[in-house]
Amino acid sequence: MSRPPAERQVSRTIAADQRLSDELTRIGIDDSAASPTVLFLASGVAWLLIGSLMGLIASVKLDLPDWLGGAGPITFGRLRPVHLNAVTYGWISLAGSGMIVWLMGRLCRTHIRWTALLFLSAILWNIGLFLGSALVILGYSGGMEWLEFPLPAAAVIALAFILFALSMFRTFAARQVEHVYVSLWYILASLTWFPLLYVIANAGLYQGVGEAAMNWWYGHNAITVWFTPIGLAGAYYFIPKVIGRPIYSYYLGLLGFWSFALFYNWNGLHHLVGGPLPTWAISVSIVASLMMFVPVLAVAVNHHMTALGHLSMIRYSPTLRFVVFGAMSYTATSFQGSLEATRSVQEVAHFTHYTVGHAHLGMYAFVTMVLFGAVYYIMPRIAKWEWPYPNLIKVHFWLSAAGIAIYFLSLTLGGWLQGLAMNTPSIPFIDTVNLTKPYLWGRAVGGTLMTIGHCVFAYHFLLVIHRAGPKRFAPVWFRKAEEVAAP
Amino acid sequence: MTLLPALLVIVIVAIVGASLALAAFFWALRTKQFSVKQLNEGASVIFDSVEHVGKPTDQLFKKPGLQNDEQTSG
Amino acid sequence: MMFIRSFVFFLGVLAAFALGWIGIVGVPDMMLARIEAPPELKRYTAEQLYGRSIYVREGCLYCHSQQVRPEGFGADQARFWGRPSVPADYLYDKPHLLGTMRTGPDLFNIGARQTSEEWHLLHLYNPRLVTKGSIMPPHPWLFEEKPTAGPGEEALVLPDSLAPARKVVVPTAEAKALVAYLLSLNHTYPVSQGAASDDTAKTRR
Ligand code: HEC
Ligand code: HEM
Repeated sequence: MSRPPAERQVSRTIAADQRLSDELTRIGIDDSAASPTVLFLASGVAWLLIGSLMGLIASVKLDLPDWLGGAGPITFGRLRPVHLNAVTYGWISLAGSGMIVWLMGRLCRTHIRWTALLFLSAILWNIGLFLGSALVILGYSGGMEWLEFPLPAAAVIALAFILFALSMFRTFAARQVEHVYVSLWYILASLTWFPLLYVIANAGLYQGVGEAAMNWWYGHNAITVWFTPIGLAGAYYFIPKVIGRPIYSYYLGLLGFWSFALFYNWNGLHHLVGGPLPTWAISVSIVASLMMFVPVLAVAVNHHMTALGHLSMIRYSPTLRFVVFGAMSYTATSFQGSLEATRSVQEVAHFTHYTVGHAHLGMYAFVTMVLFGAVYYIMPRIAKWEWPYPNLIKVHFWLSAAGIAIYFLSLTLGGWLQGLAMNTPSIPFIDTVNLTKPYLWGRAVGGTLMTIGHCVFAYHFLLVIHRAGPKRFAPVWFRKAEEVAAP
Repeated sequence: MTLLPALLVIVIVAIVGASLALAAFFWALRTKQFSVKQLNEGASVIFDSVEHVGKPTDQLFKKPGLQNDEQTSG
Repeated sequence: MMFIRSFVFFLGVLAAFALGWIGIVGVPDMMLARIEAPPELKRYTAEQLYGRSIYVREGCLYCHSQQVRPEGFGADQARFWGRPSVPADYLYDKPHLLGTMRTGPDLFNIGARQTSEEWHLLHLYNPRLVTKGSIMPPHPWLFEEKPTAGPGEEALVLPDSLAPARKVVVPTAEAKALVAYLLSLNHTYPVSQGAASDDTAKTRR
């Protein structure tokens, strides 16, 4: 490896007490984040299980429509929104928040402030999710995609997020480093953006077509201001940190961030191409979607060049394996999304399962995989307990990777054929339905693999929390403060 | 009809936005926010003297017994 | 210095967000604010509104769109799903139900396409009664099983295999309201594209 010898020399000659103090500081910071992080991560994992199960049932219902068909609360049209809300506002948001708490301590080099707010936030958040899901199941959906939770539940979640953000901003204000790391830009931006977005969207300001514009501005901006920043913050931290090599170009990082902020906030109306809205507005969103090539390329080149020459480390590092998979999927999803936004692709793909395939490439292959990697890195460091069964991690990885691959390929192909058939007026509509059936089964198979993977992951997660299973001595990458301080 | 007021809003917002962006950009140039030193320091804040550059921090899948510090690979 | 840097950062972040909001929601909404309802567009009756709330409750939205695309963009016109929809058609809609999926057909003009209440009730009870191979969910909880139909009630005509033993199936008020809503989905009246929105319809393609 090509590190200048001088640098190596410097790191060797740093006084031993400097090393001791650095290590104790890092451990102290991790410990200050431990309880809230575990609370957030564990709730996230619970919602991952609930959400996957709902998704799986919804998926089988499209294959066997009369299965469990007798009762309103478990009909497809209610389980599907619960699935979406459970996996996005539950799993990704809660696990993402756990990751953010932990990263915040590390990147600000200071202990977490106002942790009481974090506990309150996690509890409220779970209450909001339960309330919202129950209300949707019982038939009180708000009716807009991504905004199904009725006001009482949404208000609880908004409050939870604001408490969370307050604690994070307080910690940021107390930071002990001059430089604000790239991951932190994304986190700070999303802590500012998401509460605004969520409150505006739930305020009921619009009607008719204006409301549709708001709905999809919200729908895509939730991805812009919350889900993607979570994934990117993770990738920007874990890739260089695991490899032990600074990010390739900080300058590209800057460029990527600001172009992301500028363009991605304008993408929403590409969900309404061909709909009854002013053409210019939709065109603006299409152009902004194409402009996304700039930030996406900046991020892709940056991550690729950082890992270049070190990719073999994927063999050794569970975290790197998941995060690199996620980072590559980010590039793939974004390229696909930019092209998908154009009129010629939307004409075919818009109303089909193709879109669902794309959604899972982003939310699963990218964000969820990065989060898995983050959990695999964070948990041993705060529980002081290594993952007891490395093979379970491999099983999880391959179930998830194979599952999402099958899921994505089935729906992408099936959805595209569905769109082509729908645009051929001589084909009766019901044949566009019949044609998708094998692909919908394919999706159910992929989803089953993913769900099994999540069960494995959750089991392993429980073991670490309880510090159960065989104790591993080497290689160990974390220690308790007492162990470090002992002579 | 409502096109004119709408245009007006867009134009005003665009001018204000663009001037803010320009101001921020010139501020960044003047205070050397893009200097190599600034950028390199920024990129290094995730390391310290123990978990320093060149040291991988996660190799769970590696068989115990292999040397795991200062790992060079690839 | 640290403070100025943070200040510039948050200013930029807020500006990027606000610009997008104004640009793709605020301005379009402003432009659409003054469109007038076409005279033939009726307000929903209480029953239709009730039916609409059931449409929301059961998540019909996740499989059915309510927007018709213009000639030259998809086959909506060739499938006779109605004239291209315009913003004025949606003036009374809250929540909007434009939808993004067509697992089932577009329903914006289902009230003009399928006018039979009986067909709709059967289809809702179990879609496979009327369309072989449909993957639409059945909605039997919108119906009641009784020994005999009461006065003014009409039982569904079911094939023996699906009929409950010694009972009849009658639609509840919910099923009737939902069908009333579906039948109200009829946007076939002509719109002068100009009245709807200056440049929407003209250049939508
Ligand atoms: C899982 C997806 C799905 C859901 C949810 C769903 N539908 Fe359908 N719907 C379909 C499919 C597929 C068809 C086409 C086959 C058929 O006629 O049953 C269809 C057809 C229809 C038709 C006939 C359209 C025509 O042009 O002939 C109507 C009316 C309808 N659905 C109403 C509803 C209502 C009302 C709801 C909510 C209570 C609903 N659908 C929920 C999938 C769905
Ligand atoms: C953490 C993992 C997951 C995330 C983040 C996720 C996210 C999403 C999102 C965002 C949508 C909305 C798609 C759209 O409207 O375009 C969706 C829909 C859906 N998902 Fe998932 N999903 C996950 C896992 C799963 C799993 C394991 C299954 C099992 C098969 C599944 C099945 C479905 C189904 C059936 C739909 C509805 C599609 C439709 O309306 O036709 N998802 N999911």
